[in-house]
Formats: sequence, structure tokens, C-alpha cells
Amino acid sequence: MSRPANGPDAAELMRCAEEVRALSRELRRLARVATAPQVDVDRTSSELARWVGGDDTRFREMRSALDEAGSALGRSGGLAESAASLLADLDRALVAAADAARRQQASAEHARRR
Amino acid sequence: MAMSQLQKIAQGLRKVGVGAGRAADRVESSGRDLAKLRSRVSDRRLSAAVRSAGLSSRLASVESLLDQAVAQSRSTAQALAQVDEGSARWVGQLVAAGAKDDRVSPAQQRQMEKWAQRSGAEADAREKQQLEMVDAIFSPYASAAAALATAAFPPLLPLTSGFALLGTSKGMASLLLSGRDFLRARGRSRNDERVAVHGMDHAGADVLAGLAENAFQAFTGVDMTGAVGVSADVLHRVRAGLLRGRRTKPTAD
Repeated sequence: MSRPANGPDAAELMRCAEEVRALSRELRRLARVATAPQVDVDRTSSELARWVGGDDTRFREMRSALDEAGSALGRSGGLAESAASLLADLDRALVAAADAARRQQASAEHARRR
Repeated sequence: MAMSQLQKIAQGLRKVGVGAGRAADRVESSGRDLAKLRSRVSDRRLSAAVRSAGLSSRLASVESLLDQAVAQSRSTAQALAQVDEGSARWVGQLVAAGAKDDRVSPAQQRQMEKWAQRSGAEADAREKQQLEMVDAIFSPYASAAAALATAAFPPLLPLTSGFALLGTSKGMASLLLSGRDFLRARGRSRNDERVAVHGMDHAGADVLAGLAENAFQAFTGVDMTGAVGVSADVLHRVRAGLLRGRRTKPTAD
């Protein structure tokens, strides 16, 4: 079945939808991986408090950097999760667009035969 | 401070540094994976299909979120590397203090110096990984820009010669800006010990900042879903500079 001039290609849209689906799955996995180092950060923070502490400037700087790293890890994972959700939406929208394109192509083919 | 106490603190600080370094490595690794996935999202074929379905703005939102996630990974790795470097410096200060302390035996002194040296090697390994991360981010864009620059691209926009259109790359400008921030931050952190790398970082950061400004100016008011123009030549120079920097030996310590 040929596609109408300038119209989206249903088969290509479906291929892209599959690719977007795969990207979404992979991104969800990456989002989990992105937050995993939190364990190391927490352990490091405990070690720091164990060995040094108080009013020492160096201790405060390192503790602050660790806190910032912990927060940034959470933000990074959250952003990746949000992007994965958007990709899942895009996947569904592409499938819907492919269906619409298929219907349009069928209709055009039907009109041409008549 | 008693020697045993001094040694314990130095040892504990090295644990802190090693823990922070390990976390930095893991964050950098996941950041690299995110950056690779980001470049796959901007694949030309996928962008074209999405555009044909009128869904470009959704893809642009995904790109923007991924750019932010990559930037967050980078700043996290930097924060953790700072902890590692801070602990190494601190150990160094303890080593220096120990050297003046009669209660420090030569064996204990050697042990602390060993910790300080090891942290230097770990910092070098991390620097190499950071350069690879930057390369992973910019390499696909440099290739894409070169391909577009040599292609007979329809004159859609009155771009000055030497500039090529780079797909739906709203994220390109933010990547350039985050790359600039990354290089500047690393340049600052390396200022004392790596003059050559520091200079290269700042030169690269300036070029990237200029590119990002040009990109925004070139397309102000033009509805191209955030498409930006970039010079393929300049991008290639940036990448070549980064690769050269990777091979550059420190000129001063």
C-alpha cells in the first residue's frame, strides 16, 4: 500500500514507536542505576562523621558536598524517570499516529479504486 | 595529637575518599549511559518520524529532561570528586604534620604517604573517565554536524556560510552550556596542579559558550522546535582539543 504524498509513513511510525518503547525501558533501568550510588554516598557520609567532625571547615565542606551529591542523585534519577514516562507517552502517540496514517492510506486507496 | 590518633584519622579520611571516589565512578558511568541514550533520542530518522506525526514538542521535552539528567549526573560526580580530592588534601596535610612529629615512625610516615599517592592515581583515572564522558557527549554531534554541513541541505534558513542545521537540537544548546560549565568547573579544580589541562578546559569552555550564544541568536524568533545552528568546523576543533587534552602531559605540578 502506498502512502499519500507528504503523509506520515505508518510502517516507519510503528518502527519508531518500537524504538521509543525500547528507549523508555532502558531509561527506566538507567534511572534505577543513577540513584544506586546513594548507598556509597551515605556510607561515606557516615565514615566522615565517624572520623572527623565538629566545626572544622574542611569537614563542613566535605559534608556539604556529600549532601549536595545525595540530593543531585535523587534529582537525576527523578528526571530520568520523568523522561522515561514521556517516552512511553510518545510511544503511544506514535502508535496512534501510525493507526491514523494506516486508515488514511486505506481510505485514499479505496477512493483511487473507485 | 597522638600519632595513633593522627594515623587513624588519616586512614579514616582515605576511606572517605575511596568511598566518594567509588560513588563518583558509578555516577560518571551512569552519566555516560544517559548521554549515549540522549544521543539516540535525537537520532535523525526518529526525529523525522516524530516530526511527521506532529509530535516534535514531546520529543523536545524528553530531550530537555535528559539534558538536565546528564547535567545533574555530571555535577554529582564533580561534588563527589571534590570530596575525594578534599580528603586526599587533608591526608596530605596530616602527612606533613606527621613529618614534623617526632612520634611518627618512618614506617607510619611511609604508610600515610602511600595513601596520599594512591589518591593521586585515582584522581588521574577519574579525569580520564571525565574526558571520555565529554567525548561521548560531543562526538555524535560533531559527526552529525559534519554530515549535515557536507550534505546538500535545502536553504531553509538564511544561515551564514559555515553553519549547518543540526536537526531538532534544542538540547544541543543546553548540552553546549552544560559542557562549558563542566569544563570550567574542572578547569578550576585542576588549576593548581594541571596547568595544561586547565588552559585547554577554559579555551574549550569559551568556544562552547560562544557556540551556544550563536545558536540561540541564530534562531531567535524562528519556530523550528528549538533547532540550532552550529559550525561543524568549530565542533570538530572542540573535540580535537579535548582529545589532544587527553594526551597532554601536565606541564606543571
